[in-house]
Amino acid sequence: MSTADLRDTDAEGWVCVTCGTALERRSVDITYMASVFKVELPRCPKCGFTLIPPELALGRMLEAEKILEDK
Amino acid sequence: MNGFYSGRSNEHSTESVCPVCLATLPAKLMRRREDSEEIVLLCRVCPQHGVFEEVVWRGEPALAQWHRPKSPASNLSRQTAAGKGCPRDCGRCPGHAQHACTVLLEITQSCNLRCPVCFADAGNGDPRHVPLDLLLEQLAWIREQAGPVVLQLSGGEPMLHPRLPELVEAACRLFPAVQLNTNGIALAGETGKGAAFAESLARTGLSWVFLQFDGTKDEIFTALRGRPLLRQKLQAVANCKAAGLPVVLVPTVVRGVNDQDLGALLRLALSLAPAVRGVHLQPMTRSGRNAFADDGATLTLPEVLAELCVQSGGMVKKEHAAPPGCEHERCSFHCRYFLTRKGELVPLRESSACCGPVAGTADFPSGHEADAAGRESLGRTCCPMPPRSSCCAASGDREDVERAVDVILRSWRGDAGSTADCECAGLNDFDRFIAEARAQSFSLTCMAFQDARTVDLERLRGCCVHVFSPPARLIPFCSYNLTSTEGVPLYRKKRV
Repeated sequence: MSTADLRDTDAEGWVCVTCGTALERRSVDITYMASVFKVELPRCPKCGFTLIPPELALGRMLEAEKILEDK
Repeated sequence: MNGFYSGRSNEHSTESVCPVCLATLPAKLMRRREDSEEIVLLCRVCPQHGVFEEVVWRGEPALAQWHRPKSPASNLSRQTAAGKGCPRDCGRCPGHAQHACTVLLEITQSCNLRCPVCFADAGNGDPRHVPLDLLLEQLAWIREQAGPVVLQLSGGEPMLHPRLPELVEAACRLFPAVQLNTNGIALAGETGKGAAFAESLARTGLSWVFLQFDGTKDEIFTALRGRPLLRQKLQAVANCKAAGLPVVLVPTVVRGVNDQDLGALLRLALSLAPAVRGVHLQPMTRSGRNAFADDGATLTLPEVLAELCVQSGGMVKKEHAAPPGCEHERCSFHCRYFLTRKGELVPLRESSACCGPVAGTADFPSGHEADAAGRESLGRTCCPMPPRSSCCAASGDREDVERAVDVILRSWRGDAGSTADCECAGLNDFDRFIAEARAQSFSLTCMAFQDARTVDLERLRGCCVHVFSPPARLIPFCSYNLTSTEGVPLYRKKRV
């Protein structure tokens, strides 16, 4: 399974509000209805908090969700 | 939960009609065992015509495992008042519980076949086409009353209508999808006429062709359509493919005629994918011209599924089938797949995979890995069964129906003519998944229409496939086609 870059998601400038740690781009597994999608997203190296940008949540992630969902 | 579904009771009260006089009667679904199989009978007594018992479900999955409750639709437009009682107030009356996801518009009574099984009783030499001006008014009314549904143009044979391209163009401006229900003979026309017709329809924006396609042998077409048609059907598919028009194969399934050809038909459909987007099976009903015989030729949903499982060599499994979220749960099943490059079907989800906690995970097979990962990979290891009754229940509200329309579009329109781009460098898993799903999805669906012997008014009230009936009615499909065993229709005009 290759991990591809979600280039429009920049980690720079984001800080985890719980840990006070700068977010880093990390490979993240997003699971929905038993399918796993690997993407690189800004993630807190300490607690694992992950930033999902609105354009992903309301764009490709939503479309994938609709495909997997049932009539 | 209803005791019938939980297994605490072997009876469920509903309503039906007398098959002879169509009088509304109280009825019961009765669970029995017959030859080690579970069967469900629809039982009622007509004071005038006696006792009627019809098998409406046979085998696995048992009805107790086939439950998808829905709340009645709110904000549903009503065109008729309650008065005579179900099913005589159709149009839609205040008792109807579901929006339409699909509306049928019959644009002609003319047909170039005279099929012995025609529920519309079309092709009786009636040359009438509905004038384009009137059809445009009807389209606008349907859009206003039913909302953004899938519009099905039907007949008769709609391709005989001389203004069809203009009509499709107008319909495409109003509806998210326009489906053409056709026998395909015009699409297979000689000397390039069929190809030209397909190209002209593709230019109108037609979403997909719903192609009558009963099997892989000419004798099947001869039995059901009156003449051998396999070569023409294949030519019609080829012409649609060349024009970029998606095709759904629609067989009428009849016990003893083509019920043993379903595996071969599925393999043929897969060989024609992705131009062919799916197979939509319709067990024969006794309506219209075909109302009279009572020979047990109608298969129930589990029987069709069982035949598919056996005849596909295990490619189709019972667990792949799910009850519908739009029409009534006892009216259909659907299986949604990815088609791998090796021609294998990988289920997009299994019916047991509900929205509950995930017990394990599996990677989505991306790019070149798709074939190798195959069956081990997609959407499998979810929760066993129960939460479906709550978490997947549909409300019947407009947004649920819009979601159903969206699923239909994704399944049948897809991205015909293209194949998934496996050179996905630079794309993430979401992009890859979406691209493959668009190009390589394949649906296997079955709709059990009802007739005077099998009609269950509970199912009828949950119907989401409506027929436009002039001047201003939307009638559930099975009600519109209901015909007594003496040949008397409830709604369709009697034609001799």
